[in-house]
Amino acid sequence: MAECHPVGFRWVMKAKQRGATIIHVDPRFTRTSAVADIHVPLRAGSDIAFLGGIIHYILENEQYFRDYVVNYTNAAAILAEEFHDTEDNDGLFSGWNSETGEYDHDTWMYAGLEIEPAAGKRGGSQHPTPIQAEHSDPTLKDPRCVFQVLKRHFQRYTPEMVEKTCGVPAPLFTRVAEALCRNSGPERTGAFCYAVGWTQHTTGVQCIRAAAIIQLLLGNIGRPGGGIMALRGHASIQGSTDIPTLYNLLPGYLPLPQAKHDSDLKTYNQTYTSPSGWWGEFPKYSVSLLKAWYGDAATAANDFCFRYLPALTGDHSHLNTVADMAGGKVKGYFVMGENPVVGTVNGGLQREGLRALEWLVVRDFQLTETAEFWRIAPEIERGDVRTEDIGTEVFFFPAAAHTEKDGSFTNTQRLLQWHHKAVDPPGDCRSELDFVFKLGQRLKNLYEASQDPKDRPLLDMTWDYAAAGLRQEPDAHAVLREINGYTVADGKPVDGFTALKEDGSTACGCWIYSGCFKDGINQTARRKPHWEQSWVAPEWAWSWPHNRRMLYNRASADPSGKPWSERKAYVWWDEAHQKWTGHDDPDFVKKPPSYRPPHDARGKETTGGADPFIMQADGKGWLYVPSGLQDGPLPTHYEHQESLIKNPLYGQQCNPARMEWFREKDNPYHQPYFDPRFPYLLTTYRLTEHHTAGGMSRWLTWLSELQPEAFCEVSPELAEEAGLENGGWATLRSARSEIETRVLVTNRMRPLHLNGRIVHQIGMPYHWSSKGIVRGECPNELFPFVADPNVSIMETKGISVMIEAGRRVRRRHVRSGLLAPNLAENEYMRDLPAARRRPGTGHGLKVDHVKEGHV
Amino acid sequence: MEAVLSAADAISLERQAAASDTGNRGRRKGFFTDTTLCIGCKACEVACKQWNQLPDDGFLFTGMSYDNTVALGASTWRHVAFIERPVALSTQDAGAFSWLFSSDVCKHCARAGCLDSCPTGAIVRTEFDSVYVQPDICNGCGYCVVNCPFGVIDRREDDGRAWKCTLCYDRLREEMAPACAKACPTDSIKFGDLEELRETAQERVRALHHSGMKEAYLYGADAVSQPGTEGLNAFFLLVDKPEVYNLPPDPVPPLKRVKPVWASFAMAAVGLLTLAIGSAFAARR
Amino acid sequence: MRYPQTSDPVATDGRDFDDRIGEVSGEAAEQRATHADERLQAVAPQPWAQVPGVAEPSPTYYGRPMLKPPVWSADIPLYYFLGGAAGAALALGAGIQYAFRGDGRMRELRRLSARCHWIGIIGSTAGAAFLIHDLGRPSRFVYMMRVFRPSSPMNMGSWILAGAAPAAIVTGLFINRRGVLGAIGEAAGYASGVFGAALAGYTGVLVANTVLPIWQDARRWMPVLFILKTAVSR
Repeated sequence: MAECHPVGFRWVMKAKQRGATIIHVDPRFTRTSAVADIHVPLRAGSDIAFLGGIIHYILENEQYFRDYVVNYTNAAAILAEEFHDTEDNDGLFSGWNSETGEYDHDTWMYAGLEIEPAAGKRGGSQHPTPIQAEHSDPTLKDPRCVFQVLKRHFQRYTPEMVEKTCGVPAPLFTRVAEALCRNSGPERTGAFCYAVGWTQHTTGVQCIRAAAIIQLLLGNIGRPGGGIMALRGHASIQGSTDIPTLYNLLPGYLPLPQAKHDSDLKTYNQTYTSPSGWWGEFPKYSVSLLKAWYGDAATAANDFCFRYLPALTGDHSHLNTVADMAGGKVKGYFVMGENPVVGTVNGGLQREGLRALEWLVVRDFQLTETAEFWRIAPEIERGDVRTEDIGTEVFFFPAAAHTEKDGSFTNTQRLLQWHHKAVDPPGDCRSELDFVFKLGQRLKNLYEASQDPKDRPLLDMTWDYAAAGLRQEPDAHAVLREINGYTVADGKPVDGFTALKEDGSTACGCWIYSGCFKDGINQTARRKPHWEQSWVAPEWAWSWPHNRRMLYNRASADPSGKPWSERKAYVWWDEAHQKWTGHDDPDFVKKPPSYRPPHDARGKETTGGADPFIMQADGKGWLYVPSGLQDGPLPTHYEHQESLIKNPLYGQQCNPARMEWFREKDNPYHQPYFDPRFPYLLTTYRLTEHHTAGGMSRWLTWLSELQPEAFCEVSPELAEEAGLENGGWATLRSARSEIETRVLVTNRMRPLHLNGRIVHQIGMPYHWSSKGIVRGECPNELFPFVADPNVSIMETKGISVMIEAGRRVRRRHVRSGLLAPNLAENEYMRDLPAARRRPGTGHGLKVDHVKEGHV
Repeated sequence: MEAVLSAADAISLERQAAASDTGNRGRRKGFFTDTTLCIGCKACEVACKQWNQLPDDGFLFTGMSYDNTVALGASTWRHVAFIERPVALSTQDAGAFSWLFSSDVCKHCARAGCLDSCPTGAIVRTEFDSVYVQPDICNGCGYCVVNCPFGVIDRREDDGRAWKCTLCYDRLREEMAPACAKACPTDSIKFGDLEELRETAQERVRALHHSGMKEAYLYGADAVSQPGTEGLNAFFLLVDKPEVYNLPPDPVPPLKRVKPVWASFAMAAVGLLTLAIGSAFAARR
Repeated sequence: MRYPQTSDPVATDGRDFDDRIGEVSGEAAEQRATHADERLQAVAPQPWAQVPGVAEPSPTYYGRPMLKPPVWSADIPLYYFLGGAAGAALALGAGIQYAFRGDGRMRELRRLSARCHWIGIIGSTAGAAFLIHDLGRPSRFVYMMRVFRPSSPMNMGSWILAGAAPAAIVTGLFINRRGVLGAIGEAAGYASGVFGAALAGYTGVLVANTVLPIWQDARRWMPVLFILKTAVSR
């Protein structure tokens, strides 16, 4: 965190000065480790084994916060009898379909009913009854209750197993577990911070899930000083999921309609409106969004222009889209503020995709490697590809920096912070807002005279932001105002999402952001110092939802509404005034702790007064996820696609539901373990001095001089084994590519001892490439296309590679067979049994698999 | 002294930090660099270069841990040292290893070798008690370079003049804190009134000792602990020998040792004259 | 210029400024930077080839010097020689002048004393020229006399040199004239002797008054050594 989020780390250092214990778990010793109290080096990709070990420790030693667990989590819920755990199935849950390479989730449900996930993929069931009354065991003794299932699932994650799997000595592991448990309970809380070190795995989502289980068991969610912080890759990544750049979501986590299913607004609303919990409000948000986008054209009679929305035909995530490009299925591509040739796995395949496009638009500060893939690239240097053979037409638009435009950043705490334009962007540089706005205007003008009904979505779209100045730049405040929402009749900003209606009388661009422009004032621009207000600092900027600084803050009070302890008081039930009060905006306003939903309750009325997790259908924190995940209801340790060892826990080697791309030459995979050609483990990361794929830093002298060349980091032991010298050169090789790089030999990298075997890890930052003031070769060239099944995130945190001393042999054709795998497949099994097809196979389209309500 | 700061204390420190931007005029100002709070992010180096518009020093990979700027110099006025030690910090559970960071800077010594030796008067002491090189006066004689006991000031060959940290004189005059202190995310670099900084530093050492980090000590905090320089206006909290951070254990500006040299000079000069006269008289006979 | 040989050359002046947009006016805005890589190449020509660590009992920071090496070029030793020779010559000249004052045989020694003075004149002016040439900003050499600062041997030396050279010139011009000019010449002759002795020796103080350990350790002997050197050199 000190490495990649030094400004956020300010608060960690403050906490440390106030007595907090900082534990850092990372394969290498980083700047964070340098100031941490405990550093735990572990094998890259063994996070779930480590976290599972902590879960095991908490359960075995009865260290969980019992009152919290019983009342606020689904620990007591009874599972269906059809459910079978990985314990029974050598690493597979019940419902595995090796024909389709996917799980059937039906057996994962609670006994007797179907439950809805919190966000994203929702089905259309009609079981409104909350579960706690009928199918639960508050004593947590029932062998089929979640708590007991959890206990059995994690029983093999012992400290010894952690040592064997992660390379973390059992005593060190125990010290970590003890420190965590010691710092939990009514008086104390602990927080987890993570970044892409957890997410960029084929088990990325389940890593976070494992942390969520720990935090729920220890009672660290919805309480001050608790929580799980996702440290985002760069500024406003939180914002770009709230108002998404994701292919399958609309603003505010409303799912994009399914082409084959959601034929009209009624069906769409019915599908995604949860009978219980907050998602019962769904139609208010979807209709308000349509009103914001299509204005007067959107009426109840025409489904508020629902049919104008694009609809999903399959998985169009980044890796799939690139694979489709390479397959000639994609004609044009916009790349805005991203440098995928450097920042994404398998740069060779990325460029292959770009070469097959008709046109490419790049908006960035500099002519990045993506903008100039046709001129400067390894395959062009090698002579495999000639520039004159590339037909892609590339349009480059220089972009304005954040100091050159108004706008907001949303950080990991869901805090929207406004930034003001300081100077005009130079020359032809323009903001994204300006570019998109004018592109929209031009398209509208182009189709102005069209009578074709298919052009109506474009023509009816509201696109009337006030533009001002010489350059006629749109006013960012006008956009924020629309995001906040307003009443259609008088255009007045609404106070928040509670004011939104499903009859078309309100418009709102993103329901969770509703309130950010309350009273016509830009709430996100507030800058009151924290010593002039309460310690929660509600008047610094604005956070969603409803300027609430902590989600699920109902959990900070006990079931009766009293704070768990004075020290950790946050919000509580004011008996005298019959309302919730406290330091923050409470989740509940007047719903008393004693409220229990009647049987005929619908929507948010089904959430009881002691159910803090209001976005969940049952109001509980989910230790066990009955619906919504593709790869199992509980986190399970699987190895990387390309690991050094056999899975020590199960016969199933890899995440069975992972996405793979079997392509002839451009994405070969290594053996799943013990691949003799690739005996070392490579993990990638970032440095403080550079920014992601380098577009913002490699062209700046003051940053470039601080880290002027690409390097890898190895332990003295590996250096000796491979003949590497500090400051010298090394060549790293995978089946995809090979790169050369400088070497730092350092005791910050340590060989790990796993079950008598020594595992050497190589670390390498991925910032450099072939352009800019400082250069180097990018390790992402080495990685294959393989992804997590839930969110299609690539796996960059571990592959097996070879390292050799010296520089790369120029013009070697890596893919020409020399390194192609030729070992007997049978000895190396990734799957038990092997799947016949798999998400991501071929071009990854899952469209044939779409099942109604379960995509 | 409690090892743990209360919330109220923390907020009051915050307020102080925010207020450190004002009230600069006519007061002795300095830095307290607490290396135990440094995370090696180099924001100070970049903020310094950006504010003062210093050029880069070239792009050479040094192999010295994450330190690629090597030392303070004419164009590097803040420099973060990266020290990989085979010894654990006494408060850390991380094996026999630790990684120390320290943001070095001109010490603005109470007795400054560069200032005393400057033949042109280009180097002056400002109203903030900082040592400042006037670029419009400096003629690049290079004498200060060999008079700094810390190896801070340097002449840039293509520019011809000597340069070093100005304690952001221009910012101080505008009631602002120096760029490095402002940019430091963890308050490892503290800027303020020297007297207050010394108190803060003493308290910090006590707190660290209390929490078990017995190796923490102040370097150059006052004339007592560093008589040679008579105390540094930019002093440090360190956890290992000064040499580990490339700091001299006992820095003394040469002026302090030069008196007997002048005496022997006088004797030698008189000797020379005597010799000259003597040999002339000898020739006369 | 970085990567000049590649298909994508990069040029940089060391600062990230587009002077068409903004004005550079910081404290170091006028620092000239044309050879950005020079300093690092000088201090770190090769990457550190060992595993980073701390060597006890006498640790260093990657073996880097704690102090800056002198920035002076070959001009300075040349000056030490010329200035020293000039100083000693002037002292000898003055010695002769004193020893043979009012003596008839003075004329016989005129050639020797004139040679002394000419050595003094040439040595001190040429020395001064080398000194000025070694300055980073030679056009600012007169700033050496901006202040009178006893704490700075270089400042003292400047004054000494500024006294010695003119005194030597005046001596050389007037010493054998009659009347007032001759008196001035004589006075200048004695003055140049005193300045000369100082000139011969102050450089010893100058190098002793540095932080460089080898010079500091021998500091008491420095002036004597320098003067001995000059005495030998004549």
